[in-house]
Amino acid sequence: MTSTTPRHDINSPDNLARRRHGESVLVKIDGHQGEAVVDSLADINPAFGHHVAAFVFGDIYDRPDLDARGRQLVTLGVLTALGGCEPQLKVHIGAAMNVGISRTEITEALLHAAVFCGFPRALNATFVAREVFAERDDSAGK
Amino acid sequence: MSDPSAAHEAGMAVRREVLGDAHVDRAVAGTTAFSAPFQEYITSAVWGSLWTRPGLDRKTRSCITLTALTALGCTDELAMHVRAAVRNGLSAAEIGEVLLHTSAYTGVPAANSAFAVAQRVLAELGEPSAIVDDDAS
Repeated sequence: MTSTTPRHDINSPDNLARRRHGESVLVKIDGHQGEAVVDSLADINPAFGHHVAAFVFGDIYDRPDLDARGRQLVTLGVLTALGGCEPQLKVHIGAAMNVGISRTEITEALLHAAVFCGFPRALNATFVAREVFAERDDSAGK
Repeated sequence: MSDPSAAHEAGMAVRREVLGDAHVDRAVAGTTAFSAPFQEYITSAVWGSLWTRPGLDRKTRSCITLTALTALGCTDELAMHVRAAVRNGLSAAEIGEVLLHTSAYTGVPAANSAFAVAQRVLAELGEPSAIVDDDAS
C-alpha cells in the first residue's frame, strides 16, 4: 500500500471500499431504513456512519458461521436485553422480516428473552413489533 | 398445559436435556425451603412452559439466551448457558460468532467478559479451538 492517507480518513480508497461493501450488506438486510440511519449521520458525524457500515455490517454481518436469520434473531435478543433501544429494534424487526423470519418467530424470540432480561424490556420490544407489523400491513394494503 | 405437575415434569425433562443431569441434580440437591418456590418457577414456567414452546428451535433459543446474558453481564449464568448451547448443538465457532455479533450492540467490555467465560467453559469441555497453547510463546 503506497497510499499516504491516514488510516482514519474515512474517504481513503481502502476505507471507501470497505464502506461500500458494508453498505451493500446493510441494504440487503435492513433495506433502505438502515441506509437512512447511516446517511442521517453524514452531517453530525460521518465517521460514525462509516463505523456502522464498514465495521458492523461490512465486517461482522458478512462473516460465516451465523446466517442472516441467526444474526437478526441474535440482534433482536440483545436489543431487547439492553433496553432503551426501541428505535434500533424497529429497524431490526423490519430486517428480521426482510430475511424471512416469521412474525411468530419474532414474537417467540421476544417472549424467550423476557425470561432472561425481565418482562418490562421484552414487553417494550413486543410493542415495537406490533407497530412494525401494522406498518407492513398498511403498506401491503396500499 | 393446565396440570401444574405436568408442567413441572415437562420442565424437568427439558432442563435435564439442556443443562445435563449433573447440573440439575446439584440444583435439586441444593434446593431449600427458601429457594423451592424459585426452583419450581424456573422448572415449570421457564423450562416447562417456555423452552417447550414451538416457534423456535433449541439452538435458536440458546443463541438468544447467550446474547441476552452477554448484554446483561450475567457471566455466571452465561457459563451455564454456554454448556447448554453446546448440548443444544451449537458449535464453538457458532458460539464465538454469536458473541462477536453481540459485541457490536453491547460494546466491547461486555463481550470481552463473555468471550473469557465462553473460552474457559469450552476449554473445560475439551474444545481444541478454545485451549490456550502454552508452548506457543
